[in-house]
Amino acid sequence: MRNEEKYITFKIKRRDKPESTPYWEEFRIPYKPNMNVVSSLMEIRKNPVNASGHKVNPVVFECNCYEEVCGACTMIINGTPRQACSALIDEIIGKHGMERPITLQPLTKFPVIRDLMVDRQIMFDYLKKVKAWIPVDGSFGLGRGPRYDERKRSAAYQISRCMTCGCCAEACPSFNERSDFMGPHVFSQVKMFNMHPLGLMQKEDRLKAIMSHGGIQDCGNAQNCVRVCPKSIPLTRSIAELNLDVNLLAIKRIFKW
Amino acid sequence: MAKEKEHLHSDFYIRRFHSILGIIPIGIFLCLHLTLNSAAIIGPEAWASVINGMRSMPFIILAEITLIALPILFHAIYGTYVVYVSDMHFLQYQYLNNWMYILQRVTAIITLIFVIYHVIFVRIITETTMDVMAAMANVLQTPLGFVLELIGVWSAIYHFSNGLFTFLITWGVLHGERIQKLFSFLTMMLCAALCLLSLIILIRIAMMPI
Ligand code: HEM
Ligand code: SF4
Ligand code: SF4
Ligand code: FES
Repeated sequence: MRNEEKYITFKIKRRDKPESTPYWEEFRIPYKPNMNVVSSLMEIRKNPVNASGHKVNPVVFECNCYEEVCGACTMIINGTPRQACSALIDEIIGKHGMERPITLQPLTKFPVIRDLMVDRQIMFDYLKKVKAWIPVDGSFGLGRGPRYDERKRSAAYQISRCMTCGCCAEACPSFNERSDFMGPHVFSQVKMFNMHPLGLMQKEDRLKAIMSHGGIQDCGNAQNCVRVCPKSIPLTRSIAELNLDVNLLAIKRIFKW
Repeated sequence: MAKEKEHLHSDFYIRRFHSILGIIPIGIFLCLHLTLNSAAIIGPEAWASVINGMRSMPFIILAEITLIALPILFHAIYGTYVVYVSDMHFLQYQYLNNWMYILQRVTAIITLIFVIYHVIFVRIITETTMDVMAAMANVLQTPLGFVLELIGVWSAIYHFSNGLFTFLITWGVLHGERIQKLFSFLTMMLCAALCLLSLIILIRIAMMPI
């Protein structure tokens, strides 16, 4: 039976320290049905021996939920930014065969901490900048809130599934180290909070925030973001709709200047 | 409490200004320019009378500077900065819109070079209507000249047509996925039509016995 065992190969872009130069390393692990990229990385962690037989440091990666809702395991798999936990090995080898190595790279638009682990803090900083929340805390009860229009609620639900995973920012040509563009995800969040009957009260503040440096104007309509988003967030629709809102506000602001 | 003075970030307004300039006046000028020069399809006399007409307008130089040169200059300078801050090594994303985005930036640079050449060649160093016609015909009669001229003109046309599509998104007109697809198709049809028109114009000029 031993010689019938099948192997899959991973080609992983590794980096030991944030400042050190990256290098590629190959790993071969026995194939089992129903594996995914996270479970494969765990196999490698159990026995960190590379394809040429040397014992090496285990590959560092992040994961939390194992069901594509936290976004922690986002990496570039065979060239596409996606979640490692929902990247099924059977699907990948069904497409490319057993022989072709599966390449894993860290996201390129964020600082790498180690191996496949990156720091996506900047995405959260931009969410803060655009006030992507509803201020309800106070020293007294505010009573029942207004009712939520069902159509708006279901549109907002769709957007609320964003997990700040960074796939959209990774694929966006305007999001790079030469520009301070906030990234595609913030605009859908602004759209969502501006739809909420309570969030509506800070609508103008959020619009002003996305009209500031690095804001909505830096989107060049490449529309890669919406293609790679694993949660089908209507990113380009939110940008298009907000374009109307910010343009109207801009005209208002010019005449009040 | 004194109201905090509102701060208008200039980025947004400059980028929107750049976007308007692409259509008004530059895009309108491009369409007019192609329409007027279609007179070359009829023949050298018709073309000559159109060029004469344009050149004999009073204060034409003032209109050329304020309505054409300065807007293109602003659009081109800021546009070059926009090209600089976009990532274009994006062969890994094989989506149609991504290709259109990359082509928008590639044609921006080609158009920039072409417009500079074109203005110097047929506006600054040429004196009479005959000079202009002879200069154009001479270039177009060599295969290399014809191909380069065609690339320049087609770049400007694509850049304008796709720019019209993104303009409609930038100004918040096209929201949904399907209406965007439809308009992307319509503007590409416009692009094809203008490319065909310009091809016929250039062939007719190349055939002129000058
Ligand atoms: C025949 C001359 C030109 C025409 C008719 C034209 C027209 C346009 C139009 C309509 C847009 C769309 C604006 C929007 O999406 O909101 C645009 C965008 C753009 N133009 Fe031009 N343009 C011309 C020349 C140039 C030149 C010479 C450059 C620079 C080298 C340039 C660079 C750009 C860039 C980078 C964009 C993309 C801006 C964005 O996506 O927001 N253009 N242009
Ligand atoms: S919008 Fe989509 S791709 Fe972008 S961070 Fe949210 S879930 Fe990820
Ligand atoms: S549509 Fe805008 S936000 Fe989305 S990928 Fe393109 S430039 Fe980025
Ligand atoms: S582990 Fe949470 S998305 Fe993959």
